[in-house]
Amino acid sequence: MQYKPETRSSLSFNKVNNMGVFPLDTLVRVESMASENAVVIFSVSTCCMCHAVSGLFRGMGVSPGVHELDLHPYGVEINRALLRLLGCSSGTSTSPGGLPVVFIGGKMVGSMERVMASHINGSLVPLLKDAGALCL
Amino acid sequence: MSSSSPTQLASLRDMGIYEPFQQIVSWRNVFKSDINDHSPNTASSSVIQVDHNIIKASYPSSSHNQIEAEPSSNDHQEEDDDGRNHDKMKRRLAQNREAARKSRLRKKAYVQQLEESRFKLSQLEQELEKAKQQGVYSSGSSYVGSSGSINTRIAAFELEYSHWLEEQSRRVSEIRTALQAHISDIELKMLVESCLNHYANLFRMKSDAAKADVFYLISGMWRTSTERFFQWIGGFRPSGLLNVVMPYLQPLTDQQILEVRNLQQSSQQAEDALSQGIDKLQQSLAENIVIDVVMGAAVENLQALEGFVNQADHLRQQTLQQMAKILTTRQAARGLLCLGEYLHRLRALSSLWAARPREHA
Repeated sequence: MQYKPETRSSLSFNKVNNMGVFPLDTLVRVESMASENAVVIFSVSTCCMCHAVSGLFRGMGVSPGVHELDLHPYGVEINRALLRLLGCSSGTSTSPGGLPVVFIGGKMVGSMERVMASHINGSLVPLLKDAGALCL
Repeated sequence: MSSSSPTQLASLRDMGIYEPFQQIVSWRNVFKSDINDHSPNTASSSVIQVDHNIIKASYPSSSHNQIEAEPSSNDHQEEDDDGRNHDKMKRRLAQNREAARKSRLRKKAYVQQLEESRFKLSQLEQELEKAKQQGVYSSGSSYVGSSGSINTRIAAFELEYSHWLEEQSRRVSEIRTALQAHISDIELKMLVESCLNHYANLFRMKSDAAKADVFYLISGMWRTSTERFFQWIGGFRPSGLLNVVMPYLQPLTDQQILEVRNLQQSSQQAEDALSQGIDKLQQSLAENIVIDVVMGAAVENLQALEGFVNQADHLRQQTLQQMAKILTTRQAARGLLCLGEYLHRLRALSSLWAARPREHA
C-alpha cells in the first residue's frame, strides 16, 4: 500500500499511539465507516487478497461496502487503527499492511483467514443473516 | 599453383597421382582408406575413372616420376607448355573435385554424429524425468531455484517431504489395521488426531518453503505429475477432497448430510474467491510489467503470491478439520483412510505412466 507522507496532526497522534492510546477521532471514524453497511471491507485498491474477500461475499449474494484506504484522505490512520484492533503486527500470513479487514454488522470479524475459517466452520452465514446481509 | 612447391607435390602424392603407373589399384586403395563406408560406390568409381583418364592424358610417355616440369626456356617446349598447362589445369580440377568430395564426406559424418548425440540427449532427458518422478532425486537433492543457485531451504523441504510421504504411508496403514481390528473409539480418535496433525505439519513445511521460493511451491515440482494435473494454488483442491471421500462415509444422519453439503458449498465458494484473487493478481502483474519501468509494482504482486499459497493451505486444513468435526470418529477414520489411499494411488499412477513401454519413433 502506498503511504501518504505524514501530516503534522498525525505526527502528534503518533506519539500518542506509541503510548498505546488510540486517537479518538480515528476510532470513531472507523466505527462509523464499519456501520455503513451490513458487510464492510477495509481494502486497498491494488490488493488482490482484498479483491478475493469481496468476491467471496459477492459469490454468496452479499454486496459489501468497500473502503479503499489508499484512496481515502485518512487512510493511513485508519489502517494503523485497524492493525491495532486486529492485535497483531502487520506480518499476518495474508498480506502486508494487514488488509483486508472485514466488519459484519458493525463488528470486526478480521482478515481473509478469519473470514474463510468462519465460513468453513459454518459460523459466517448466521452472522450474515443476523446483520441482515442475507435473506433466508 | 603451377609451381612445383613441396606442398603441391605432397598432396599429389597423397592422392596417388605422383606414381601414375602403379595406379589404378593404389588409387582405389587410397580412396577406400579415405572414405566412410557410406559413400556411394558409383561416385568414387566414376571419379577414379575420370582421374584414370586424366593420368593417361597427363603422362603420355614420361617414365619420369616428376610431375611438374619446370618452365623451360626452349621454344620447342611452347606446345608442350600449353599441353602441360592444360594438364595442370586438369590436375587442379581433379584435386578440387577430390577435395570437395572429401569435404562432403566429412560433413556427412559430422552431421550423423550430431544426430546421434541429439538422440542420446533426448533419451537421457527422458530417463532423468523418469528418475525424478520415481523420487530418485528426493534424497540428497540438488534443487536449483529460480535464482539459479542451489536453495538449501528448498532442498531441505524436498527431503522433509519425502520423509513426510513415508510417514503418511505408515499412518494410513495404521488406520486401516485399526478399522479392521475394531479398536476402541478413544484409540481410533487418537489415530485420527495424529493423522490430522500430520497434514498440519505438511502445511507448516509448505509455509516455510513458500517464504524461500514461492514459485517452487506453486510449480508443484515437488509433487508427481498426476498430482500436478489436479493442482490448485500449490496443492489439492479442498472441494475435490470432499468429493473423493463422500461416497465412503455412508451412512450419514440427516444433520450430517446437511452439514456436509454446507461444507461442500462453503469450500467451493472460498476456492472460487481465492481463484478470483489469483486471476486479479495475474492481470495486475501483466499490466505492471508493461507500465512500470522499475517493476516495483510487479514485485509487490509477486510478494502477494505467498499470501495466496498460505491461504489455500489454510483452506485445505480448515476443510479437513471441519470434516472431522462433522463425522463420527469411525467415519472420520474411514474418510482419512480413503483420502490417503486415493492420494497414494494418484502418485503410483504417475510412476506407472512414466515406466510404461514406449516405442522409439
